[in-house]
Amino acid sequence: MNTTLPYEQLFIKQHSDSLISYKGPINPEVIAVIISQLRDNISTVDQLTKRLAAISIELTQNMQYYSSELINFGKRKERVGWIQVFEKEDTFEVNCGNVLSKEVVNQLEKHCNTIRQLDKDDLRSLKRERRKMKLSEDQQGAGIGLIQVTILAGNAPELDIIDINKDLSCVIIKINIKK
Amino acid sequence: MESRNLQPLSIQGEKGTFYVPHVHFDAESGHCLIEGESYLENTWAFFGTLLDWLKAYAQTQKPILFDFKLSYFNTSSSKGILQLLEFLQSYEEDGGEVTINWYYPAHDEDLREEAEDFMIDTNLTIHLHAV
Repeated sequence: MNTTLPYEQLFIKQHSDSLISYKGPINPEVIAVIISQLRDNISTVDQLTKRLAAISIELTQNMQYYSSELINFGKRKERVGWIQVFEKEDTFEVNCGNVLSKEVVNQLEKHCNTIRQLDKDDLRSLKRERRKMKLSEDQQGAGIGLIQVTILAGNAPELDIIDINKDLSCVIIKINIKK
Repeated sequence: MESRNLQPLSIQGEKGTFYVPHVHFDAESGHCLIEGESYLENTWAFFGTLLDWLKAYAQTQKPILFDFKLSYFNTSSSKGILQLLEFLQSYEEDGGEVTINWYYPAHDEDLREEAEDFMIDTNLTIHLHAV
């Protein structure tokens, strides 16, 4: 895959004032470093730091499971994505992006549209309903990450979708976490 | 089945790339403890081990006291926790005696709400303890 995808250009423009900023292979070791840096860089109340870390874990794990862009990393092929966290006056803002197949993007859009219309009680109800569902054999996560992210943030994620070709899109997820 | 035939299940908690919770399940006393943070390399295998131990213990038909003292778990782990609770629910429905305590930091409403959701899911009584 070439190295001039739209999200990479966007990353370069925006990264200057972020709390953390990372682009590259997404694997558990990288996620651990991201979370550790977040915890080190934020001097705020525990509960908010926990929420921010939990949200970042769920979003990066989604990229680890679903990103369609692969890179050779040592002897392994790793999925690629990026994440940035900004601190604003009243919120933290988490942005992350990766390349997804259009099939996954369609599912994600529908899921986000559903989430956007629900209040907290309904989100908790949807989370319970989905958590009880049987997992498919190859499923790596519980399938409730975005719902949990929305519950914790108190805001639904915003999606920005940029078509790359007939099969792939770049998807940027932005979520604001109320302080 | 006698509980003395069943070995205790002990897993040392770790905080590195992954967060492994500390686990101690004691067949003699029926006390089961899971404590710490849970973000695991292989969530399904980890909770499968815990569930297998509970199923073996359930053969004794002795009471179970289950203490959850988790300060963080990701959504995959929450599915594993639900599987444990669903088993405890079935044990209770079959006449087993089950007591469940859920300890959470007093300021952490997210963890309290998780327990409330698990209660709705399972109809189990979970005793909440803000600490």
